[in-house]
Amino acid sequence: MAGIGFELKKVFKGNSISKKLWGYSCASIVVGGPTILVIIVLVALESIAGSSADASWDILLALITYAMIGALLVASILTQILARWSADHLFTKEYDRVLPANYGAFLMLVVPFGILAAGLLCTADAVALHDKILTWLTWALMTMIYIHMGSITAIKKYVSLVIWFSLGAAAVILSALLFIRVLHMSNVTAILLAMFIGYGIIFVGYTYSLHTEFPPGHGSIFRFAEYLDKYKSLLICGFFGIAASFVHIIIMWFFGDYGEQVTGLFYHARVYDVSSFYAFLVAIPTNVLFVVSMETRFYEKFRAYFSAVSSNGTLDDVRTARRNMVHALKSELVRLELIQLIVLIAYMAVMRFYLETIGFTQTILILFFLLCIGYAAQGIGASLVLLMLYFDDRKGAAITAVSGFCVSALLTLILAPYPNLYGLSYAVAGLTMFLVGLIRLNYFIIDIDNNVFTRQPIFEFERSNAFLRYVYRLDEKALEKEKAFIKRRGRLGFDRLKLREIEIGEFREKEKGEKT
Amino acid sequence: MRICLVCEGCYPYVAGGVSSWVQSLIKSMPQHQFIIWAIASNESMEGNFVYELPENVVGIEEVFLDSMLNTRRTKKKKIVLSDSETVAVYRMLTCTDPDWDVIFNLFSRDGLDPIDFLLDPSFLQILKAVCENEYSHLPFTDFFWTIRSMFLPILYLIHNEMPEADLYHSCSCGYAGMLAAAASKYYDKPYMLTEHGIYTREREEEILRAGWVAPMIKPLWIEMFYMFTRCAYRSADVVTSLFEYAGGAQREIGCDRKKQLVIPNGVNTDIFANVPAKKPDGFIDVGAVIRVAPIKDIKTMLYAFARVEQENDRIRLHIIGPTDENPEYYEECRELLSDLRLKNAFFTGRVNTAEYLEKIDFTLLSSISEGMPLATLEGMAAGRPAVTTNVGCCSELLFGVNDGFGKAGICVPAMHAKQLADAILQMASDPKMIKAMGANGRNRVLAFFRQTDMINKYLSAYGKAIENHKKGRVSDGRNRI
Repeated sequence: MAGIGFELKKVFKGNSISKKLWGYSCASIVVGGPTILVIIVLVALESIAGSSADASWDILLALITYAMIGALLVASILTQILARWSADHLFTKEYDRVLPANYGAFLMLVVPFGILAAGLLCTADAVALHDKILTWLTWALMTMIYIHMGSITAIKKYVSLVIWFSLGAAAVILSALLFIRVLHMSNVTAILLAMFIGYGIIFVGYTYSLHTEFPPGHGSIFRFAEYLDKYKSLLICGFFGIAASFVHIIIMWFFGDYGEQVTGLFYHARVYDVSSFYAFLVAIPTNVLFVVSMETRFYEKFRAYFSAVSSNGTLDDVRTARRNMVHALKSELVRLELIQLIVLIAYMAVMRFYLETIGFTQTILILFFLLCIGYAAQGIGASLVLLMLYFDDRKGAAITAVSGFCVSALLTLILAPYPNLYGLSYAVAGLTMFLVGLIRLNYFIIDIDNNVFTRQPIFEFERSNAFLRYVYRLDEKALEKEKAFIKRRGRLGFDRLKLREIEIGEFREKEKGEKT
Repeated sequence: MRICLVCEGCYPYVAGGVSSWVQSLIKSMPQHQFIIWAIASNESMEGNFVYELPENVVGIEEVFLDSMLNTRRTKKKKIVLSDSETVAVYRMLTCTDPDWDVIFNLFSRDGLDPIDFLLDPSFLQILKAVCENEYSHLPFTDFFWTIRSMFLPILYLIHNEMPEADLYHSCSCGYAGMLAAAASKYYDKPYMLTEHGIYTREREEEILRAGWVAPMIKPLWIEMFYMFTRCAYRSADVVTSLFEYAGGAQREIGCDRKKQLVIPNGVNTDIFANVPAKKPDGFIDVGAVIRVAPIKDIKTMLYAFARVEQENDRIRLHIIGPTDENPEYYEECRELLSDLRLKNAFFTGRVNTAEYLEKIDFTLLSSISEGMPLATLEGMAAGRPAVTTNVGCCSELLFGVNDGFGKAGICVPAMHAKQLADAILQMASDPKMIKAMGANGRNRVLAFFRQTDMINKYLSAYGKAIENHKKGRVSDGRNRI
């Protein structure tokens, strides 16, 4: 995520409020645009559906909710792995290895989970076939967009991302209006089709932006799978970190008092769901602030420390840099927590008035407040997880993510029969993730010299097992095929190879130019 | 008695002077059993012996430094060192002569695994103190990894299984000396050290020339080897050298005079003294009995011979010795030979030296560093004078020390191709000189450098080592109240 923070920092130059607003808006869009969009759609639909007796709204809400949560959960299996893969290959300047990983991830996730998703949709008897297809396609697009997010933050021309996102969002709104008001389509089909078009535009736009940033791919699209073996903790951290945000919702569907079947295996708990979606938005400022402020200010000290370590820093240099880094980390964390607290209080205060107007009772308001606390704390917890990954404390990151998930799941199950206590489980889970993350990060930082020096292995051992050998063989075969193709196609093949080399060369020149 | 010979980078993998000395020592003491504790660099050398092990070798313990590349951490439990252990480790890392008994005990087979220790916070804590107090000017990361690389090999070796013997005899200081000292302490047995060259000075020269060591780190490496040498000197019950000057160098580094003995190398005079004179064939044959290794400076020899060939094409150079020790260097020498278009220079490979000396008029040695070169002694025993560089005790061998035998050759400065060439030409142009100097050399060898005398002196030295060990080690002045 570091790249985007530094690029966005340039927008904040100068003190004008408009620049700051523009900067935060851009950051919000780049960091969480696709999720924010679907949450806004859901709350908008909820506010429309709230007063309606039409069951199709329930179906629509359930389909979109399942698509969003499904996409986030499925993509989260590989997002941290892909983020690490991109980061490592950007560092080693193997830019032609970045994009193929995304396409490999598409196949690895969308195909098997797509079959599951299709099976799930088949149980929804009340949903028309074309709506099932649209739901599946929207889920697939969302999944692929979330997969792209791992490498999208390396794109320096963030304005193109903002433009594509805006076009997609506008397409959702305009298409929905067109389909409902002009073409008089059913609500479900109209909204789903609008979502499909909007997310389709975002996906195409992000893909195009990535292709302008990175050269064409090289080698097997599954080469990144070696990181599944090497960095299993990233898989755990990525999945459980996201799952922690949604497991309580899923449990409420099936075990909570508010849960009800919509159709087939599609359940929802509308009161709980909508409260969660509103509460989810409270963590957006934390995510944005982390990218824009924490990452940049802290990252400078972080980089200075590791420069002292890896370059010619004496012991005094290392100590001084460490002190500065720890100080920056602590002060930025305190700042982040304070701002989140202020935003939390302000958000709860403001939303209280709005939610009362749309029919939230006191009980549901308390549920909403508890969920806000949970999401706010979990937002900080997620930032702490990212910080741990900065320091390569993958074990700590995994422990933190899993702790949030386990507390959320267990406590929600335990409290499922007690509606008055709904929301408490997630508040506790969020606070748990926050506290565990804080303790772990503190423990790691106190011992950072040992973590940076002594715990580094003396010898590097090449991992080897059947899975890795298979992955490497796939890569070798892909490379051999490329060479054979070029040889077979003769001049054209040569031209393509030459073109690829020129593209990579030009890309590297561009990189050099931008750096100087 | 069972004697453990600790050999580093020589016997039984590499043919050369020290290896030949080991082989003759073992063969000449059939009454004793020997265990060879061989330290080498690569596991690929395992079992590749260039000597046939004599019958009285009852065991061979091979240790390879690259085996440590396969070792992994065994325990993750935090290591807690006592005060004395912390002090000992601190002093070891600062190369200020720690209490080696504490170190050997700490890292023995039953003690700490060095990998576990180097991955433990206690190591970092001590290292930071060392850096702060002694090396605060050095880049810390370089210092950290240098210390790890420096000490891992020796700690790894100490941590290995040690063969049990009645006496330990190392052929050098360095790792061999440390292992022998550790085993001597572990089993409470006598330890004798024989230095063929001055190991520490050779390592120092190598490190100073090494391109892979950063200049600011070189003093650390050099100091470590000096520390190992001082440990060997202190631990040994008897320390032998080949000649008096080497003994002086040992004392300079810190060896106690009371435990020193000078035991010159000896030659099997029964074989070499009976090598017949060369039959005249119109050529002068010069024999360089050497390993093809950089320290023997074959390149200067070839440059010198190029000058010789220009003046006199009736002189032939035979480079007699194994060529497989350093294939890259051998290839460079072959290329140089070709570039210089030398018609009369040949690499013979490993041959029977005594038989080959029949074809030789005089021997040649161009080494940069030597102790008491066995090759020169063997040539002298065979009545062949020598042209050598003035290194080690070559001048003592050729000119004697007031022994009345006269000159047995010509000494020139090292790395001086012109003077070497002039000496070869001078010798080759005067057959009478060759004969006279050859006779002088033979007489000198028969008087002072017989193998039987050498063996008797070593047997006596073993006795002295056992006696000294029983007395509780010769006082080195460190334990005075």
